[in-house]
Amino acid sequence: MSKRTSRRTSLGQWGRDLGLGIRLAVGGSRISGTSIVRLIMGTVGIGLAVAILFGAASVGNMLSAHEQRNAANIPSWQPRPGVDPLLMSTASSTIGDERISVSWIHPSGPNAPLPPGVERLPGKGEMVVSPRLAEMRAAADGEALRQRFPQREIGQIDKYQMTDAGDLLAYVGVDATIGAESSAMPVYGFGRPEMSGNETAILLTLLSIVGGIVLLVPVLIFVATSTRIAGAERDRRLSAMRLVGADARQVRRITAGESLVSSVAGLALGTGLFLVLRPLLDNVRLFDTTILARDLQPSPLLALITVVGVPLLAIGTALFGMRRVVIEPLSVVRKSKPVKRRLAWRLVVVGLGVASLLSAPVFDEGEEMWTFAVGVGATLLLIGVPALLPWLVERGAARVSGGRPSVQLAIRRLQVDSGTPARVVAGVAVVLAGGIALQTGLAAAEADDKYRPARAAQETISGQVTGAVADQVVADARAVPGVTDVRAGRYLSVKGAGEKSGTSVYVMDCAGIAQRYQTDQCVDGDAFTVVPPPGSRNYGRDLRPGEQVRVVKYARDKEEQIATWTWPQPKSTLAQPPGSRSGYFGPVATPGAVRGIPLSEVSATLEIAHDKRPGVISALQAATAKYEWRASFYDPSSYVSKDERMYTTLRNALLAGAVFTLSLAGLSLLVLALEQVRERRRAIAALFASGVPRGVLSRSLVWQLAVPMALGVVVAIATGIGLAWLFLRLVDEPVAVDWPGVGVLSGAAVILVLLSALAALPALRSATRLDALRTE
Amino acid sequence: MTTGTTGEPIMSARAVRKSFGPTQALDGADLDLHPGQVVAVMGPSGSGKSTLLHCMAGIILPDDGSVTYQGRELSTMDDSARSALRRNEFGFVFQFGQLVPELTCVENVALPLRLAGMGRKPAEAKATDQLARLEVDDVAEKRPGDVSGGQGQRVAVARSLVTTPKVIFADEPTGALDSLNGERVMRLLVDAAKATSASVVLVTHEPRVAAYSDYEVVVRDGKTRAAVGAA
Amino acid sequence: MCTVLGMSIGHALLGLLEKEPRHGYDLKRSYDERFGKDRPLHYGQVYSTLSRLLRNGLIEELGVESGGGPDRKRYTITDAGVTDVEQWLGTPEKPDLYLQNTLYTKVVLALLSGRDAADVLDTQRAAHLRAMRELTERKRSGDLADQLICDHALFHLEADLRWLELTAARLDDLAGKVRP
Repeated sequence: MSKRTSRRTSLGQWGRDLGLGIRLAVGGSRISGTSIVRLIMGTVGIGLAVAILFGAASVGNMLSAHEQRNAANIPSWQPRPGVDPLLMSTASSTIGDERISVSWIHPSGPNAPLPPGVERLPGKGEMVVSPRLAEMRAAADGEALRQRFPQREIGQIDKYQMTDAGDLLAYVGVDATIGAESSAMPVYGFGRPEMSGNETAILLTLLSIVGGIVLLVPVLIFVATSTRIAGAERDRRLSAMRLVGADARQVRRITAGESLVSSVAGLALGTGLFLVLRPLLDNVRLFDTTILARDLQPSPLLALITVVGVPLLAIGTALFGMRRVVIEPLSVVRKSKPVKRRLAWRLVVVGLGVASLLSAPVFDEGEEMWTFAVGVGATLLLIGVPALLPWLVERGAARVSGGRPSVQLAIRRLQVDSGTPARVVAGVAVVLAGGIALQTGLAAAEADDKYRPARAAQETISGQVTGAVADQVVADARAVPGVTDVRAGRYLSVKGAGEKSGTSVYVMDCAGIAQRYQTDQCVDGDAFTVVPPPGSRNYGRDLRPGEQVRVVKYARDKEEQIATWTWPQPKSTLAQPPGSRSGYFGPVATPGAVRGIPLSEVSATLEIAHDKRPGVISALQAATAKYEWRASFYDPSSYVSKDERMYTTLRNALLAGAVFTLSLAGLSLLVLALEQVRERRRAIAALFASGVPRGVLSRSLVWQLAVPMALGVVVAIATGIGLAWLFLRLVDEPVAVDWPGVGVLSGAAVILVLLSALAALPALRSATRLDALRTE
Repeated sequence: MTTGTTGEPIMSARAVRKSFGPTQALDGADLDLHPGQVVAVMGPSGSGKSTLLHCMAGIILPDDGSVTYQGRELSTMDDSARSALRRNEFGFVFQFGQLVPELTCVENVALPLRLAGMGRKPAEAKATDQLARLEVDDVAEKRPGDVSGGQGQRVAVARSLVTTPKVIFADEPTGALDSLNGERVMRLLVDAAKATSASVVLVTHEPRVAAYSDYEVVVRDGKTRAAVGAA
Repeated sequence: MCTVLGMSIGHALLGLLEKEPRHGYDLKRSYDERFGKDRPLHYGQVYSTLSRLLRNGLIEELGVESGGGPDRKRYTITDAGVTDVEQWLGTPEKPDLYLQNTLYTKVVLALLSGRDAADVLDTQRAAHLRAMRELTERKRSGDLADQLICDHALFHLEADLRWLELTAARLDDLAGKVRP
């Protein structure tokens, strides 16, 4: 229409046209089955998108709530007037392969502060535990835990005040002797101002952005596809509107009104979904973080953007979909020769993504900019894939011209309209690419010898014991069934004259030294110097023979001298045996060489070898429960398990996401196939009447879906492996492609194609019936 | 019973009955199709003309009565045999919408040959010839959506003729065209059929289209009424 | 045209007489009712036609009622007359312009006499189509002038045929009207 008309279009006219569209969408009894299907599918798609967006909009709030609670739990050692400090020593150890944090506490007076979520301070022999620990202790298989924590449980920590509701936490009351313990700090209160820029928070935010994109892309594609259902019917309706005098702009506004209906309904559905699903997510643990339903509050701004943006987006999609359609009063013209797709901007997106990932090493690993570069790079790559696919499918289809009739039919169909199937497949490709990247990354991480051999070698349990009880604990530990050997070592902190930081001397008996450094020369009273393996840096310093040093211990940030000592002439220089990754290098002394130093004041580390029977560590912990804070054990391999646990979580999340998006994509493909059959009912019926076997028609349907899908899978595999390669390059890991995983994901795509084709076959079959040929 | 025809019919329908649910579409229809002749099947809308054509072509099977082609009873053939018959011996022209929209015109015409196993190059060469005979070789590389209705119908006629069928079934082939284009399509169709001695079953309700036939059969209320009282 | 009309009056009267013997006056009335809405017959026309039919032996006088005069005579159809009607109905009219009057008369008389009116129409259609085929053939081999002339004729014939179709579709209604 003329510019004059458009300028005169008032807001009121807009409103009336939108309203007309709304009435047409829900209008009365004339509405057909397919229109309803379209309305429902649009609503469901937008509903899902809204629910996902609300979830994503809540991540920030969830993280900041987490952060606030974390800050509230940080003990303060600043003396406060009128407060009797709470003496507290916190030790981390493990239960199974989970981390547990045990705080041994003793109030130094009646006015001692209460830790967050604790109602009453436990006295000697009492404790307050986190809900999950209480649950585990109470469980039928919790006998070892009950022995390890024989204290009386006088209450539970309020989960809403813990940093993470799923943490394993215990406050155990002990007597005043803990005051002598160097690790026991006087706590005057809890909570300190929030820290900002937490790295995990940034990473999680980035993850949720990438995850959100991966989830949202198929949803949006699904919404766009759903507008194609009953498209011909809608076109006829709009054509009729033109006939009675609506101008081209009005028709567009009416279309917008129609799509507004499903977006508003979707908005309601999505809000409902979010509210219904939120309680179900309560206490769900993800990435070692427990989700609390009440933390899932969308940020008001983001929620507003969602509420306003989603309908606008839906309208925009509808109008965008009509950009090549000209509705005339008596007909609908689809411009059959669409503009050729341009490659440039698609390549720019992919190129920027790759560049961003390549640039990441410029920054230090873990630095904010590094995280940013990686996140942006991954996001751009994941967006670039679907952007690239329509172009690829178009070009790919243009190249092919031959093939059997069934192939030819499918290829020609793609040449006419490759955009829609390519977009649907692009959704699948994003998921596949992300999936393959993660699978490959995980495979590389698992294959890395850093983890597996280390775990195999370290069939030992580590322990930390206060000096006074070290000998008793060693004796008790030796009595535990399954324990084959217990070795104790102590790090002495020594300082030369006027030296500020000083260095360490490792004290260990000859048996230990012989075993550790593979030497048979050790006699009690000897001292050695261990040189670091090539490439390792010695953080301490070597002592000069005859050097006078002060032996110190630290208590509550105060340095306390416990002895003076002279470093003897080392007997020899020992080398770290090749292949051992962790170790100590520097001065090493036997107990005979440190006579006169009160070792009972220096805590000891234990290395406990065992015969790998299950539950050894639990038995150890139970057997040494009476030492309270004085002895703690942990399984070094459990930290690896923790990584693995995260991988498992990741894999599960990946699988769930993949299943979700694949089924959405499958539905989209089905819709597409059905719509294509509907559109060419007459041609199909005529072909069948002329003797074209149904098989040829069915196969062409399969090809039509399979060709873009095949391209999508190829692109996804390339992108996924490329992404993984770029990631792994950042962390110096070798690339090991998880081919079975790639195979499974690709196979799923193939099955998807076959399933949607299969589901569309009845429609094809009915199209070959002759109703379509009847003109009477 | 018919005029100007001699010899054995290539195809015969006898006492054909067919009902769709409660509707009796054909209630005793007879038709003889003579080699190289064009028979017009006339009658008002809903009289069963198209149903008679579908029965004759073996697209559907009659409930009762017989349809024989070169002495073979169609109802004794299975679906794939009838499909093969339609593919190899028959050609079809419908009112509209029969061309595959995404194939070019020449590809549409070549399609039956390709299905019969012919290679792409020779099939398209033959299709181009056929298009030329129907005076539409200029749109060979266009898609059906980009050509006019008359051109599209001529492409459809070309497709029906490309396998040199023995019988061409044309169901209101000019129904969607104006007089001039309709006449042109009919002229080319009949000329091409005569050139290859193909018989044509022409379903139409337009007398001027029927005038291209050699003889006519009228269907009314599902019954055929043969022309009587030759002059 | 005139002859056609004249001939068809004779056949029409014969057809009317086939059902039952009538007076000349009755014949005129029934003819006017059914066929002569726009152009009623003159008595002179009726009696001259009747006398021609008498002369040709297609009808005969059934007897004169008291009072005499031509209008008091009753006529009845002879066997020859029935055969003549039969032949007339079975013969298609030469496809020509403006023959609806005749065709209509034939259809009504066929209905009146209990014959198959559809046969009349089918016969006519065949004749029309034959004519159209000839014209089509001429058109295909002729020059543009021939084509245009033939097309003119073809369109007129087509109009007739459409009327035939329409009439065929309404035969039952018509039968109800002419045979109360």
